Amino acid sequence: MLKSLLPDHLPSDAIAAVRQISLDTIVEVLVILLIFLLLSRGLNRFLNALGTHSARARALVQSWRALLQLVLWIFALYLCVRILAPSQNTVLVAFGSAALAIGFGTQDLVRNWAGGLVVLLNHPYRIGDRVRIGSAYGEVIHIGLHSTRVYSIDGDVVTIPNATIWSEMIFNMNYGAPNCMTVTDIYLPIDAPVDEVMQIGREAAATSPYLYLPEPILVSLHDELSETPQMRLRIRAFVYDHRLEYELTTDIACRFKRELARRGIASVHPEPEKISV
Amino acid sequence: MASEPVPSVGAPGGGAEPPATRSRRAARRATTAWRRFWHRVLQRVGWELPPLPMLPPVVSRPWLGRVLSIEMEKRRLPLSYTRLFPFTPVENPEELVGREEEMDGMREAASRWKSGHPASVLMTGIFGSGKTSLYNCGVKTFLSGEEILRGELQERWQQPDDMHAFMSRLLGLPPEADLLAGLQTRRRVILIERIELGYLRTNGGFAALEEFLNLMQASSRSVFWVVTLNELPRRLLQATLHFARYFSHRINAGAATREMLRSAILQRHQPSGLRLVFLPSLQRQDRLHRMFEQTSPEEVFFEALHRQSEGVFRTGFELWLDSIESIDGDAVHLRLPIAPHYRLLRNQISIDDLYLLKANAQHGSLTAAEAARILALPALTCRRRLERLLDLQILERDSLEAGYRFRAQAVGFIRDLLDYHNMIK
Repeated sequence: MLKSLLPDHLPSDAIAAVRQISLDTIVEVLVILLIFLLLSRGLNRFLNALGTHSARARALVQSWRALLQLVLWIFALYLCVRILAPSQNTVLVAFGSAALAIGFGTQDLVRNWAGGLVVLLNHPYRIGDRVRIGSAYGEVIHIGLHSTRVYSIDGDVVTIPNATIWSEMIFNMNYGAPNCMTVTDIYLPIDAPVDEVMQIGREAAATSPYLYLPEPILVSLHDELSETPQMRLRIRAFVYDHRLEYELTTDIACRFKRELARRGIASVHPEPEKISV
Repeated sequence: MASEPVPSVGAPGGGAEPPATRSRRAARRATTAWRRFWHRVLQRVGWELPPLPMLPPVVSRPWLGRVLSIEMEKRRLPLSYTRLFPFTPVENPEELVGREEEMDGMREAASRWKSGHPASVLMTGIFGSGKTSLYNCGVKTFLSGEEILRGELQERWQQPDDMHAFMSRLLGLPPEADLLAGLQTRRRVILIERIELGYLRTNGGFAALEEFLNLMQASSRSVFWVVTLNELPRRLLQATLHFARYFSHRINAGAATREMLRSAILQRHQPSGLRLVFLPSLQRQDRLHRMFEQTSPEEVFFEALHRQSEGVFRTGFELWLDSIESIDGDAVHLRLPIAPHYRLLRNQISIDDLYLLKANAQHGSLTAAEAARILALPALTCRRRLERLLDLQILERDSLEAGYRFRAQAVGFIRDLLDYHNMIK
């Protein structure tokens, strides 16, 4: 009955392919799909039962679940193809269409792999470096062919596709060294005594236990003319371990403010919020 | 005649084990091994909880003496022998071992000063390396006949007034006198020791020392200044005050060579008239060393001593005395200094302890109150940590002020640990 529904102008290969499909083959394929559907559900239930047994088992189950399902359905697809037994030409056409679709869909994957090769050969960063890539900032903990993982200050693990190197600038803070430069900005009244605050800033950095001594301490002053004119004191100092960047900047700021308070020099206070009526 | 079968181990009566018993035993072993393997698999996937670990019955905190396998609190040696190894600086130039280049540096600085040029010498080196000995011998050799003043800081300079008071006492001037004028009245040599007490690593803590350095630089035509300073404080002062620019010469009392250390020790040992007996080492690497290199036990001993003391004279003398197993009759029996395994001790030292130790190293000695000011912590916290480091025998009480300072034997270990964490360079 199916064959009688075929229009006459179809190519011979297509007609031959459809002629192979009988009611029996369709029923066989449907039965197989049904069996595998039940198997898939059964597998899910088993894995869920395993996962409820302990937290450690749950993590293992989560990491293996998708892969097991994929293997199951690939096997199901293989059986269906064996049953349908299409001709060589049909198979080639099908694979050709699939390859075209895969090629279009995976161009980003290829770009990532190319980026990964560049990273591995050119070393814009290495594992242990403190980098800023786009909006991600932290320590590089993994470099793979497809992506790079960065452990951020907030404890997040950020996965960055390697293709990012083609479009984003990469800032490397330490480039293989354990120490790196930190910047501490402190805001002061515009009329604060400049020599005194410069000296306090330098000493605040020099007395910090996190300071990396061999590198110099740089202190600079900038006027900021906004609604409230103020002076920005910028202290650049190196920390002995880049993971302690914020410990150093906080310690410098605390030491600076304590000394300011001891000497009775005012620091900048933010303006009270204006309430609009 | 048929030979008797060899009885198998464990077989009752010594007779051969029947095959059935052997196969039963093998089956039992296989079952046990399988059961163990299966339990491990179940534990790995989380199906079973792992068994509780077996804890040792006693866990005690290690201390430095235990790691070094020596007793550090008391010496059982005769006083007549330990008196040969005083930990005081050398006074007689004939007793100074090596240090020819350093003495040349002293000679050059002294001759510059004598010819009317400003000259001041900074002597640096790690604790116990012989800085004061170098000074004593240098002054006796090249500056004999000059008036010599020696000042040693006894307490910390908190402000410039403390420095004024110290210098006034040293020069015999009234407290309000003009120090510069007083220094320029006549030519003399002034040694300042323990300059590490001249500052505190806090905001404003360097003011007194800075004033002293300016005074020193201004008067270096009439006064031949010599300042001794340990290496770690020097690095701190270089970073904060650009310390080196105040001195015309810097003499580094670096690590002594093995021969220098050996000569210094044997020079002191010789008056005892005792012969030396080097006990054979039980350590495999030293046996191999002797086997392949054909070296004598004495050479192996001094090689190990030099390695562990890192060429520091004081540490070398301490290790020498600690390595003496016994003195009996006419011989001194020495055992090889065992290469210490610091891992256990290292695990006892936290990162907070390291900050405290680094501060201590940069100041030579610290009280709990000073440590609290430096680290911005409560004094009680600092005291607790210092006492704990005292228990670990890393620190000892400072004889001069109520502070804590490094033990000579701990200097190398702590320096390595700080270097490992990139905290000193």
